[in-house]
Amino acid sequence: MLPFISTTLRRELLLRFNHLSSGLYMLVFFVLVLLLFPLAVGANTQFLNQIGVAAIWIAALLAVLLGMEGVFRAEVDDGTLEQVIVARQSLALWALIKVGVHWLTGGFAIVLLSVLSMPLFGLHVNEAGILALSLLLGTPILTLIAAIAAALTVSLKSGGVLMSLIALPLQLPVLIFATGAVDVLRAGGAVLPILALLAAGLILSVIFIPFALASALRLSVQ
Amino acid sequence: MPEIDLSDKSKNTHSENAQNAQSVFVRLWNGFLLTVAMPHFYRIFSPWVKWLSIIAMVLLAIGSVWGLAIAPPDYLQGNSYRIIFIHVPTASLALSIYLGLAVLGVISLVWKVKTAAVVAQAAAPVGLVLCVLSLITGAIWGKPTWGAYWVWDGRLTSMLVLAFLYVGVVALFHAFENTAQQGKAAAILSIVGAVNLPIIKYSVVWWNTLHQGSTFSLTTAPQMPPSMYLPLLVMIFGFYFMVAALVIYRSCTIILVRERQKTWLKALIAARTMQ
Repeated sequence: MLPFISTTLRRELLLRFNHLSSGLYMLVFFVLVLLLFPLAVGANTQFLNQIGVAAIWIAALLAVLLGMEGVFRAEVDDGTLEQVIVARQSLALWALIKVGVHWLTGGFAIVLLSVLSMPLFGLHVNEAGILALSLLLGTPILTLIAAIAAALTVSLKSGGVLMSLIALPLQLPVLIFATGAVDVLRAGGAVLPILALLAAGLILSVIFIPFALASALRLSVQ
Repeated sequence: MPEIDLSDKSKNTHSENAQNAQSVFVRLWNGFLLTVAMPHFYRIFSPWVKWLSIIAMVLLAIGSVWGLAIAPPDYLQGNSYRIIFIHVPTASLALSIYLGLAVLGVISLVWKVKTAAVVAQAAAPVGLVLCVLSLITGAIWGKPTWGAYWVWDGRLTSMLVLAFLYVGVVALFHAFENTAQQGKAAAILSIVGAVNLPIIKYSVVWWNTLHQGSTFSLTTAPQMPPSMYLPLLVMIFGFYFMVAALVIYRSCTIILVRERQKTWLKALIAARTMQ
């Protein structure tokens, strides 16, 4: 078990850091979507301050979704996936490690980039802090759900649109709770229960979604 | 069938009992598997379509006349409430069919019953249409009652999300060329969606109370008199029978398409044409 974990982790990290450009594109995309909001609604600072959290979360959701497209395709095409199955290793664990490494270069970078909310949308430090915390808890869930959609559509030639169609409705609750956190903070309520809910969602997703991933990935191996 | 000697109970040890019970269970299970195999499913259920649709037509006719003409108008909403006789059955069926998809998904993934995937494939578009219908009738009902076609109410929003979940399942059924793959993919998605459904519902209701306060409460509906809920009940049963007929009919059609090369079907068609 342990050699399998360390080998997979090493392989994924090496692959990820040798192809940093795809992760960078995703971050540029995130900032670009953020740019769209002021351009579309005007430079009214008060209004921008109101929609800032929503804008960052929508941009994060779209960036995570696009970043996960075709995440398993190379492994399905070159037979790595088959080797994992043939070697009787846990496919769920393999998928979890892969998605985790992917999050490290995608979702986690978005958490760091969310400091942009302070200059761009005029958020306070504590509001930006809660936003970053909600992103830290929420983006792994978003990544895992997007991974389900990516795994289900991996053997399809044009799975991109279908993948978003599958993932978005499932990702809605995360968006609702996470953006609600800053709203509750502004209204003077307790933020901790919402963050705790997000954390609970994260724990449950990490436990259960890998199994859905494994059975979805098995589909592409006939 | 092995005979069980009931007169000699003293010799019947525990292990034999267990063995008998197991063999009975196994036989029941095999019989069940045989029944849900595609040829048997087709033979057993295709004659039901006619009777189910006749019952559905009768119930729907009675319910519509009773609900739309005979039932008294509402003291507050006048005649506009009568859309409830279509709105409520479609909404409740849209939810039940999605749960049904998840149950069928578990059956097809765990016990590899191919017919479950066929029935799910037949039921998914029906559920999608009913979900959209319930949204449309809800919007039509909302205009005279709330003064707006759409309000961001918790129920409405979660029904909208349900419609998108349906679109995902239906799209997955269409996307794959391999029938086994499409069935499994849609099964996984419907199970994940059904697990998510309560969370979506809860989050949307929470969002609703957070952002705008519940202006419209659908949950505390006034008690309905029997003259109103009896026709509603008839309509709900009518819709259930109609959906059963539709789903079985569509399943049988899918079976015919998939099994067109099989000998049992060729024999059946030959027997039909001989008559």
